[in-house]
Amino acid sequence: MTQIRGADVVVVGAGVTGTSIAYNLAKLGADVLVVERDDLAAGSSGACDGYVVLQTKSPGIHLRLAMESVDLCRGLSEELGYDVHYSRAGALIVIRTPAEWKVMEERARTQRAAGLNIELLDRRQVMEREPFLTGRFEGAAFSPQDGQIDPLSLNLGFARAARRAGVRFLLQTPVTRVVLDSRGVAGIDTSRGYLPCRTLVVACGVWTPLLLKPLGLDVPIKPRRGQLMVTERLPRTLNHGILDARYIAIKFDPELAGAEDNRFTRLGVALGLEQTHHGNILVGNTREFVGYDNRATAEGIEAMKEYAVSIAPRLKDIRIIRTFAGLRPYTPDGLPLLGPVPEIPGLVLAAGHEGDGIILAAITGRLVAASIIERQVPSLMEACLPGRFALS
Amino acid sequence: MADDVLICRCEGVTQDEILEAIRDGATTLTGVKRRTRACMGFCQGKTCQTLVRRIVGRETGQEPGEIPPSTVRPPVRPLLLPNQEPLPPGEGGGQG
Repeated sequence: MTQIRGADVVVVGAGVTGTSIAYNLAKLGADVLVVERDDLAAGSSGACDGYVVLQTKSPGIHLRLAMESVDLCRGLSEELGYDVHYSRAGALIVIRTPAEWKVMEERARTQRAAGLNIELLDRRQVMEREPFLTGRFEGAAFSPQDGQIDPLSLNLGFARAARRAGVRFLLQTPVTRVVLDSRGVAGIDTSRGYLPCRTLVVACGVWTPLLLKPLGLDVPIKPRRGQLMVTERLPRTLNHGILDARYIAIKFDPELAGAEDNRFTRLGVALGLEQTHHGNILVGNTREFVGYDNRATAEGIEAMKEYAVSIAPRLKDIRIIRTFAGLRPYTPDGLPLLGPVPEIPGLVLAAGHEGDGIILAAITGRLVAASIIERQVPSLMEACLPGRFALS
Repeated sequence: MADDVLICRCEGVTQDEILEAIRDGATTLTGVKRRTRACMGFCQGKTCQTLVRRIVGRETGQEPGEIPPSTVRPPVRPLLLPNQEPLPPGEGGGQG
Protein backbone atom coordinates (compact mmCIF):
# COMPACT_ATOMS: atom_id res chain seq x y z
CA MET A 1 0.00 0.00 0.00
CA THR A 2 1.19 3.54 -0.68
CA GLN A 3 2.47 5.63 2.18
CA ILE A 4 1.40 9.24 2.62
CA ARG A 5 3.69 11.75 4.29
CA GLY A 6 2.75 11.65 7.97
CA ALA A 7 2.62 14.53 10.42
CA ASP A 8 3.44 15.31 14.06
CA VAL A 9 -0.27 15.12 14.75
CA VAL A 10 -3.07 13.62 12.66
CA VAL A 11 -6.62 14.75 13.40
CA VAL A 12 -9.44 12.49 12.20
CA GLY A 13 -12.64 14.44 11.55
CA ALA A 14 -13.12 17.85 9.92
CA GLY A 15 -16.12 19.06 11.88
CA VAL A 16 -15.93 22.10 14.14
CA THR A 17 -14.03 20.17 16.81
CA GLY A 18 -11.38 18.66 14.53
CA THR A 19 -10.77 21.86 12.56
CA SER A 20 -10.58 23.96 15.75
CA ILE A 21 -7.98 21.59 17.22
CA ALA A 22 -6.00 21.52 13.95
CA TYR A 23 -5.99 25.32 13.78
CA ASN A 24 -4.85 25.66 17.40
CA LEU A 25 -2.14 23.00 16.99
CA ALA A 26 -0.74 24.78 13.93
CA LYS A 27 -0.76 28.06 15.82
CA LEU A 28 1.42 26.39 18.45
CA GLY A 29 3.85 25.30 15.72
CA ALA A 30 2.84 21.68 15.11
CA ASP A 31 2.86 19.96 11.73
CA VAL A 32 -0.78 18.82 11.34
CA LEU A 33 -2.77 16.72 8.91
CA VAL A 34 -6.59 16.44 9.02
CA VAL A 35 -8.14 13.29 7.57
CA GLU A 36 -11.88 13.32 6.88
CA ARG A 37 -14.00 10.58 5.31
CA ASP A 38 -16.43 13.02 3.69
CA ASP A 39 -16.09 16.80 3.71
CA LEU A 40 -15.86 19.81 6.03
CA ALA A 41 -19.02 20.05 8.20
CA ALA A 42 -20.46 16.89 6.63
CA GLY A 43 -21.61 15.39 9.94
CA SER A 44 -23.22 16.93 12.99
CA SER A 45 -21.46 20.32 12.60
CA GLY A 46 -23.45 20.96 9.45
CA ALA A 47 -26.74 19.65 10.83
CA CYS A 48 -27.38 21.69 13.95
CA ASP A 49 -28.50 25.04 15.32
CA GLY A 50 -26.21 27.90 16.27
CA TYR A 51 -27.07 28.71 19.86
CA VAL A 52 -24.25 30.09 21.96
CA VAL A 53 -26.30 29.97 25.14
CA LEU A 54 -24.85 29.88 28.65
CA GLN A 55 -28.16 29.72 30.52
CA THR A 56 -28.71 26.07 29.63
CA LYS A 57 -25.40 24.99 31.22
CA SER A 58 -25.30 23.65 34.75
CA PRO A 59 -23.17 25.70 37.12
CA GLY A 60 -19.76 24.10 37.58
CA ILE A 61 -17.26 22.89 35.01
CA HIS A 62 -19.82 22.82 32.20
CA LEU A 63 -20.71 26.50 32.61
CA ARG A 64 -17.05 27.46 33.11
CA LEU A 65 -16.00 25.79 29.86
CA ALA A 66 -18.86 27.49 28.02
CA MET A 67 -18.04 30.92 29.48
CA GLU A 68 -14.38 30.59 28.45
CA SER A 69 -15.45 29.52 24.97
CA VAL A 70 -17.88 32.42 24.59
CA ASP A 71 -15.06 34.81 25.48
CA LEU A 72 -13.09 33.33 22.59
CA CYS A 73 -16.10 33.54 20.23
CA ARG A 74 -16.18 37.31 20.56
CA GLY A 75 -12.88 37.81 18.74
CA LEU A 76 -13.10 34.80 16.47
CA SER A 77 -14.13 36.43 13.16
CA GLU A 78 -11.16 38.73 13.43
CA GLU A 79 -8.77 36.00 14.55
CA LEU A 80 -9.78 33.58 11.77
CA GLY A 81 -10.10 36.26 9.10
CA TYR A 82 -13.52 34.80 8.30
CA ASP A 83 -16.93 36.02 9.43
CA VAL A 84 -18.42 33.37 11.75
CA HIS A 85 -21.47 35.60 12.34
CA TYR A 86 -21.32 35.61 16.11
CA SER A 87 -23.89 37.90 17.66
CA ARG A 88 -24.88 38.47 21.23
CA ALA A 89 -28.50 39.55 21.30
CA GLY A 90 -29.45 37.51 24.36
CA ALA A 91 -31.66 34.43 24.64
CA LEU A 92 -35.02 33.68 26.22
CA ILE A 93 -35.76 30.36 27.90
CA VAL A 94 -39.55 30.23 27.75
CA ILE A 95 -41.27 28.96 30.90
CA ARG A 96 -44.65 27.34 30.29
CA THR A 97 -45.88 26.20 33.70
CA PRO A 98 -45.67 27.23 37.37
CA ALA A 99 -43.70 24.03 38.07
CA GLU A 100 -41.11 25.01 35.46
CA TRP A 101 -41.03 28.53 36.91
CA LYS A 102 -39.99 27.13 40.30
CA VAL A 103 -37.16 25.11 38.78
CA MET A 104 -35.91 28.03 36.69
CA GLU A 105 -36.06 30.46 39.61
CA GLU A 106 -33.87 28.18 41.71
CA ARG A 107 -31.51 27.58 38.82
CA ALA A 108 -31.18 31.29 38.05
CA ARG A 109 -30.05 31.81 41.64
CA THR A 110 -27.16 29.34 41.36
CA GLN A 111 -26.24 30.58 37.89
CA ARG A 112 -26.13 34.19 39.08
CA ALA A 113 -23.77 33.06 41.83
CA ALA A 114 -21.57 31.55 39.10
CA GLY A 115 -21.39 34.92 37.32
CA LEU A 116 -24.23 34.77 34.81
CA ASN A 117 -26.55 37.70 34.29
CA ILE A 118 -30.08 36.19 34.34
CA GLU A 119 -33.40 37.88 34.78
CA LEU A 120 -36.83 36.22 35.09
CA LEU A 121 -39.45 37.98 32.97
CA ASP A 122 -43.22 37.67 33.32
CA ARG A 123 -45.45 37.12 30.31
CA ARG A 124 -45.96 40.81 29.58
CA GLN A 125 -42.23 41.55 29.74
CA VAL A 126 -41.50 38.62 27.41
CA MET A 127 -44.02 39.88 24.85
CA GLU A 128 -42.49 43.35 24.99
CA ARG A 129 -39.04 41.92 24.25
CA GLU A 130 -40.23 39.35 21.74
CA PRO A 131 -43.57 40.26 20.13
CA PHE A 132 -43.40 37.10 18.02
CA LEU A 133 -44.31 35.05 21.12
CA THR A 134 -48.06 35.26 21.62
CA GLY A 135 -48.98 31.71 22.65
CA ARG A 136 -49.25 29.80 25.91
CA PHE A 137 -46.48 30.51 28.43
CA GLU A 138 -45.91 32.02 31.86
CA GLY A 139 -42.72 33.95 31.29
CA ALA A 140 -39.06 33.40 30.46
CA ALA A 141 -35.53 33.53 31.78
CA PHE A 142 -33.45 36.08 29.88
CA SER A 143 -29.70 36.50 29.69
CA PRO A 144 -28.08 39.24 27.61
CA GLN A 145 -24.86 37.18 27.56
CA ASP A 146 -26.37 34.59 25.25
CA GLY A 147 -26.06 34.69 21.50
CA GLN A 148 -25.66 32.74 18.31
CA ILE A 149 -23.10 31.83 15.69
CA ASP A 150 -23.26 30.28 12.20
CA PRO A 151 -22.03 26.68 12.66
CA LEU A 152 -21.12 26.20 8.99
CA SER A 153 -19.17 29.46 8.89
CA LEU A 154 -17.46 28.50 12.16
CA ASN A 155 -16.38 25.17 10.66
CA LEU A 156 -15.27 26.70 7.34
CA GLY A 157 -13.54 29.54 9.20
CA PHE A 158 -11.48 27.17 11.38
CA ALA A 159 -10.59 25.10 8.30
CA ARG A 160 -9.45 28.10 6.26
CA ALA A 161 -7.43 29.56 9.12
CA ALA A 162 -5.90 26.12 9.72
CA ARG A 163 -4.89 25.84 6.05
CA ARG A 164 -3.35 29.28 6.15
CA ALA A 165 -1.35 28.20 9.20
CA GLY A 166 0.00 25.22 7.26
CA VAL A 167 -2.43 22.41 8.13
CA ARG A 168 -2.89 19.85 5.33
CA PHE A 169 -6.35 18.35 4.68
CA LEU A 170 -7.21 14.98 3.15
CA LEU A 171 -10.95 15.16 2.45
CA GLN A 172 -12.98 12.23 1.04
CA THR A 173 -10.51 9.93 2.81
CA PRO A 174 -12.02 7.36 5.18
CA VAL A 175 -9.79 5.96 7.93
CA THR A 176 -10.13 2.19 7.88
CA ARG A 177 -7.93 1.23 10.84
CA VAL A 178 -5.81 2.64 13.64
CA VAL A 179 -2.47 0.82 13.65
CA LEU A 180 -0.64 0.21 16.95
CA ASP A 181 2.84 -1.01 17.80
CA SER A 182 4.59 -1.66 21.11
CA ARG A 183 4.89 2.10 21.79
CA GLY A 184 1.23 2.91 21.12
CA VAL A 185 -0.22 4.60 18.03
CA ALA A 186 1.95 3.99 14.95
CA GLY A 187 -0.31 5.31 12.18
CA ILE A 188 -3.59 4.88 10.34
CA ASP A 189 -4.73 2.99 7.27
CA THR A 190 -6.77 5.21 4.98
CA SER A 191 -8.42 4.83 1.60
CA ARG A 192 -5.37 6.60 0.14
CA GLY A 193 -2.75 4.49 1.88
CA TYR A 194 -0.86 4.16 5.15
CA LEU A 195 -0.10 7.28 7.13
CA PRO A 196 2.42 7.12 9.98
CA CYS A 197 1.80 9.28 13.06
CA ARG A 198 2.61 9.07 16.76
CA THR A 199 -0.16 11.38 17.96
CA LEU A 200 -3.68 10.77 16.71
CA VAL A 201 -6.62 12.96 17.67
CA VAL A 202 -10.00 11.32 17.09
CA ALA A 203 -12.63 14.05 16.67
CA CYS A 204 -15.31 12.00 14.95
CA GLY A 205 -18.25 12.94 17.17
CA VAL A 206 -20.88 10.19 17.20
CA TRP A 207 -18.73 8.03 14.91
CA THR A 208 -15.81 7.92 17.40
CA PRO A 209 -16.83 4.61 19.04
CA LEU A 210 -17.02 2.90 15.62
CA LEU A 211 -13.44 3.84 14.72
CA LEU A 212 -12.03 2.74 18.10
CA LYS A 213 -14.03 -0.44 18.72
CA PRO A 214 -11.51 -2.63 16.82
CA LEU A 215 -8.86 -1.52 19.38
CA GLY A 216 -10.99 -3.01 22.15
CA LEU A 217 -12.12 0.43 23.35
CA ASP A 218 -15.70 0.98 24.37
CA VAL A 219 -16.21 4.75 24.09
CA PRO A 220 -19.47 5.71 25.84
CA ILE A 221 -20.78 8.09 23.15
CA LYS A 222 -24.28 7.49 21.76
CA PRO A 223 -25.89 9.24 18.78
CA ARG A 224 -28.90 11.30 19.78
CA ARG A 225 -30.96 12.62 16.90
CA GLY A 226 -32.10 16.24 16.76
CA GLN A 227 -34.56 17.28 14.07
CA LEU A 228 -35.00 20.82 12.77
CA MET A 229 -37.17 22.73 10.29
CA VAL A 230 -36.08 25.76 8.26
CA THR A 231 -38.47 28.55 7.27
CA GLU A 232 -38.27 30.82 4.26
CA ARG A 233 -36.09 33.92 4.64
CA LEU A 234 -37.77 36.73 6.51
CA PRO A 235 -36.88 40.26 7.50
CA ARG A 236 -35.72 40.52 11.14
CA THR A 237 -38.55 38.80 13.02
CA LEU A 238 -36.93 37.49 16.21
CA ASN A 239 -34.95 39.72 18.55
CA HIS A 240 -33.35 36.84 20.50
CA GLY A 241 -32.56 33.17 20.45
CA ILE A 242 -35.52 31.32 21.98
CA LEU A 243 -35.53 28.00 23.80
CA ASP A 244 -37.85 26.60 26.44
CA ALA A 245 -37.43 25.24 29.95
CA ARG A 246 -39.02 21.85 29.38
CA TYR A 247 -35.80 19.88 28.98
CA ILE A 248 -34.04 21.63 31.86
CA ALA A 249 -37.06 21.14 34.14
CA ILE A 250 -37.38 17.43 33.30
CA LYS A 251 -33.68 16.89 33.95
CA PHE A 252 -34.17 18.53 37.33
CA ASP A 253 -37.40 16.68 38.14
CA PRO A 254 -38.29 13.73 35.85
CA GLU A 255 -41.85 13.74 37.30
CA LEU A 256 -42.54 16.93 35.35
CA ALA A 257 -42.56 14.92 32.12
CA GLY A 258 -45.46 12.82 33.41
CA ALA A 259 -48.18 15.38 32.79
CA GLU A 260 -47.21 15.80 29.14
CA ASP A 261 -48.43 14.22 25.96
CA ASN A 262 -46.17 11.16 25.97
CA ARG A 263 -45.34 11.65 22.28
CA PHE A 264 -43.46 14.83 23.24
CA THR A 265 -41.62 12.95 25.98
CA ARG A 266 -40.76 10.01 23.74
CA LEU A 267 -39.38 12.27 20.99
CA GLY A 268 -37.75 14.62 23.48
CA VAL A 269 -39.49 17.61 21.90
CA ALA A 270 -38.48 21.08 23.05
CA LEU A 271 -38.75 24.56 21.60
CA GLY A 272 -35.96 26.12 19.60
CA LEU A 273 -36.49 29.27 17.54
CA GLU A 274 -33.50 31.00 16.06
CA GLN A 275 -33.34 33.43 13.16
CA THR A 276 -30.08 33.02 11.31
CA HIS A 277 -28.18 35.96 9.81
CA HIS A 278 -29.57 34.87 6.43
CA GLY A 279 -33.12 35.48 7.71
CA ASN A 280 -34.37 31.88 7.91
CA ILE A 281 -35.85 30.75 11.21
CA LEU A 282 -34.70 27.38 12.53
CA VAL A 283 -37.55 25.68 14.36
CA GLY A 284 -36.75 22.74 16.61
CA ASN A 285 -36.14 20.31 18.09
CA THR A 286 -36.11 16.67 19.20
CA ARG A 287 -33.80 14.47 21.28
CA GLU A 288 -34.11 10.82 20.23
CA PHE A 289 -31.99 7.69 20.64
CA VAL A 290 -32.51 5.93 17.31
CA GLY A 291 -29.00 4.72 16.47
CA TYR A 292 -27.32 6.28 13.45
CA ASP A 293 -30.53 7.12 11.57
CA ASN A 294 -30.11 10.80 10.75
CA ARG A 295 -33.30 11.39 8.80
CA ALA A 296 -36.03 13.82 9.71
CA THR A 297 -39.31 11.98 10.31
CA ALA A 298 -42.97 12.78 9.74
CA GLU A 299 -43.73 12.17 13.40
CA GLY A 300 -40.90 14.39 14.62
CA ILE A 301 -41.81 17.27 12.32
CA GLU A 302 -45.49 17.03 13.31
CA ALA A 303 -44.66 17.08 17.01
CA MET A 304 -42.17 19.97 16.77
CA LYS A 305 -44.65 21.94 14.71
CA GLU A 306 -47.43 21.50 17.25
CA TYR A 307 -45.16 22.33 20.15
CA ALA A 308 -43.63 25.43 18.55
CA VAL A 309 -46.98 26.77 17.34
CA SER A 310 -48.44 26.51 20.85
CA ILE A 311 -45.83 29.03 22.05
CA ALA A 312 -45.42 31.05 18.84
CA PRO A 313 -48.72 30.85 16.88
CA ARG A 314 -47.49 33.37 14.31
CA LEU A 315 -45.31 30.61 12.86
CA LYS A 316 -48.47 29.47 11.12
CA ASP A 317 -48.09 32.29 8.57
CA ILE A 318 -44.54 31.30 7.64
CA ARG A 319 -43.47 28.69 5.09
CA ILE A 320 -41.22 25.74 5.89
CA ILE A 321 -38.74 25.15 3.04
CA ARG A 322 -36.58 22.34 4.44
CA THR A 323 -36.29 19.83 7.28
CA PHE A 324 -33.19 17.98 8.45
CA ALA A 325 -31.72 16.10 11.38
CA GLY A 326 -28.28 15.72 12.96
CA LEU A 327 -26.77 13.28 15.43
CA ARG A 328 -25.56 14.76 18.73
CA PRO A 329 -22.81 12.83 20.50
CA TYR A 330 -24.39 12.08 23.89
CA THR A 331 -22.26 11.02 26.88
CA PRO A 332 -23.54 9.65 30.20
CA ASP A 333 -22.38 12.66 32.26
CA GLY A 334 -23.04 15.36 29.67
CA LEU A 335 -19.36 16.31 29.34
CA PRO A 336 -17.17 15.61 26.30
CA LEU A 337 -14.21 13.22 26.32
CA LEU A 338 -11.10 15.37 25.86
CA GLY A 339 -7.50 14.22 26.17
CA PRO A 340 -5.28 11.15 26.18
CA VAL A 341 -6.62 7.61 26.42
CA PRO A 342 -4.57 6.04 29.23
CA GLU A 343 -4.64 2.56 27.64
CA ILE A 344 -3.05 3.63 24.30
CA PRO A 345 -0.13 6.10 24.24
CA GLY A 346 -0.53 8.66 21.46
CA LEU A 347 -4.30 8.35 21.22
CA VAL A 348 -6.23 11.51 22.08
CA LEU A 349 -10.01 11.87 22.11
CA ALA A 350 -12.00 15.03 21.41
CA ALA A 351 -15.63 14.00 21.04
CA GLY A 352 -18.92 13.68 22.89
CA HIS A 353 -20.12 17.29 23.17
CA GLU A 354 -23.77 16.36 22.57
CA GLY A 355 -25.48 19.71 21.87
CA ASP A 356 -22.45 21.77 22.88
CA GLY A 357 -20.10 21.11 19.98
CA ILE A 358 -20.65 24.57 18.55
CA ILE A 359 -20.47 26.60 21.75
CA LEU A 360 -17.45 24.63 23.01
CA ALA A 361 -15.56 24.41 19.69
CA ALA A 362 -13.25 27.35 20.41
CA ILE A 363 -12.25 26.28 23.92
CA THR A 364 -11.99 22.60 22.93
CA GLY A 365 -9.45 23.48 20.24
CA ARG A 366 -7.42 25.58 22.66
CA LEU A 367 -7.37 23.01 25.47
CA VAL A 368 -6.74 19.90 23.40
CA ALA A 369 -3.99 21.57 21.35
CA ALA A 370 -2.30 22.91 24.49
CA SER A 371 -2.45 19.51 26.19
CA ILE A 372 -0.70 17.88 23.21
CA ILE A 373 2.02 20.49 22.72
CA GLU A 374 2.74 21.14 26.39
CA ARG A 375 2.25 17.49 27.40
CA GLN A 376 0.25 18.66 30.35
CA VAL A 377 -3.50 18.65 30.90
CA PRO A 378 -4.90 22.18 31.45
CA SER A 379 -6.90 22.30 34.71
CA LEU A 380 -10.10 23.25 32.86
CA MET A 381 -9.86 19.98 30.92
CA GLU A 382 -9.36 17.65 33.89
CA ALA A 383 -13.06 16.87 34.37
CA CYS A 384 -13.28 15.91 30.70
CA LEU A 385 -10.46 13.34 30.62
CA PRO A 386 -11.52 10.08 28.94
CA GLY A 387 -9.99 8.13 31.84
CA ARG A 388 -13.09 8.90 33.96
CA PHE A 389 -14.81 6.07 32.07
CA ALA A 390 -13.64 2.45 31.92
CA LEU A 391 -12.86 2.30 28.20
CA SER A 392 -11.53 -1.24 27.91
CA MET B 1 -20.20 32.38 -18.75
CA ALA B 2 -18.95 35.44 -16.86
CA ASP B 3 -17.82 34.57 -13.35
CA ASP B 4 -20.14 37.07 -11.69
CA VAL B 5 -23.18 35.50 -13.31
CA LEU B 6 -25.88 34.57 -10.80
CA ILE B 7 -26.31 30.78 -10.56
CA CYS B 8 -28.59 30.47 -7.51
CA ARG B 9 -31.21 33.21 -7.61
CA CYS B 10 -32.82 32.46 -4.26
CA GLU B 11 -29.59 32.82 -2.28
CA GLY B 12 -27.76 35.13 -4.69
CA VAL B 13 -24.78 32.85 -5.34
CA THR B 14 -22.51 33.67 -8.29
CA GLN B 15 -20.43 31.34 -10.46
CA ASP B 16 -17.35 32.91 -8.91
CA GLU B 17 -18.40 31.76 -5.45
CA ILE B 18 -19.10 28.26 -6.71
CA LEU B 19 -15.65 28.08 -8.30
CA GLU B 20 -14.13 29.21 -5.01
CA ALA B 21 -16.02 26.44 -3.15
CA ILE B 22 -14.60 23.88 -5.57
CA ARG B 23 -11.09 25.25 -5.01
CA ASP B 24 -11.82 24.87 -1.29
CA GLY B 25 -12.34 21.14 -1.75
CA ALA B 26 -15.99 20.70 -2.74
CA THR B 27 -16.41 17.82 -5.19
CA THR B 28 -20.16 17.24 -4.77
CA LEU B 29 -23.37 19.25 -4.95
CA THR B 30 -23.69 19.01 -1.17
CA GLY B 31 -20.11 20.28 -0.77
CA VAL B 32 -20.93 23.35 -2.88
CA LYS B 33 -24.22 23.85 -1.06
CA ARG B 34 -22.56 23.79 2.35
CA ARG B 35 -19.92 26.33 1.33
CA THR B 36 -22.06 28.77 -0.67
CA ARG B 37 -25.76 28.15 0.20
CA ALA B 38 -26.50 27.51 -3.48
CA CYS B 39 -29.64 25.28 -3.64
CA MET B 40 -30.60 26.19 -0.04
CA GLY B 41 -33.15 28.91 -0.77
CA PHE B 42 -36.87 29.08 -1.38
CA CYS B 43 -36.79 26.73 -4.41
CA GLN B 44 -34.39 24.27 -2.74
CA GLY B 45 -32.28 23.93 -5.88
CA LYS B 46 -35.06 23.16 -8.33
CA THR B 47 -33.73 25.85 -10.66
CA CYS B 48 -29.99 25.97 -10.03
CA GLN B 49 -29.05 22.40 -9.24
CA THR B 50 -28.57 21.55 -12.94
CA LEU B 51 -26.26 24.52 -13.39
CA VAL B 52 -24.27 23.76 -10.25
CA ARG B 53 -23.91 20.14 -11.38
CA ARG B 54 -22.53 21.29 -14.73
CA ILE B 55 -19.98 23.55 -13.10
CA VAL B 56 -18.85 20.88 -10.60
CA GLY B 57 -18.57 18.33 -13.42
CA ARG B 58 -16.53 20.66 -15.62
CA GLU B 59 -14.17 21.75 -12.83
CA THR B 60 -13.58 18.34 -11.24
CA GLY B 61 -13.55 16.20 -14.40
CA GLN B 62 -16.68 14.24 -13.50
CA GLU B 63 -19.56 13.50 -15.86
CA PRO B 64 -22.36 15.87 -14.73
CA GLY B 65 -24.83 12.98 -14.94
CA GLU B 66 -22.76 10.91 -12.52
CA ILE B 67 -22.67 13.52 -9.75
CA PRO B 68 -25.32 12.41 -7.26
CA PRO B 69 -28.14 14.87 -6.53
CA SER B 70 -27.96 16.57 -3.15
CA THR B 71 -30.20 15.07 -0.47
CA VAL B 72 -33.89 15.79 -1.04
CA ARG B 73 -35.31 17.27 2.12
CA PRO B 74 -39.05 17.42 2.70
CA PRO B 75 -41.26 19.31 2.19
CA VAL B 76 -40.79 19.26 -1.57
CA ARG B 77 -42.64 22.59 -1.87
CA PRO B 78 -42.60 25.33 0.77
CA LEU B 79 -45.58 24.76 3.04
CA LEU B 80 -47.43 26.66 5.68
CA LEU B 81 -47.44 24.82 8.98
CA PRO B 82 -51.20 24.22 9.38
CA ASN B 83 -51.51 22.97 5.81
CA GLN B 84 -48.58 20.68 6.05
CA GLU B 85 -49.48 17.12 5.11
CA PRO B 86 -47.82 14.51 7.30
CA LEU B 87 -44.67 13.25 5.61
CA PRO B 88 -44.61 9.60 4.58
CA PRO B 89 -42.64 7.61 7.19
CA GLY B 90 -38.95 7.21 6.45
CA GLU B 91 -38.79 10.26 4.19
CA GLY B 92 -36.17 12.76 5.03
CA GLY B 93 -32.64 13.82 4.51
CA GLY B 94 -29.25 12.52 5.34
CA GLN B 95 -26.78 14.89 6.88
CA GLY B 96 -27.44 18.60 6.77
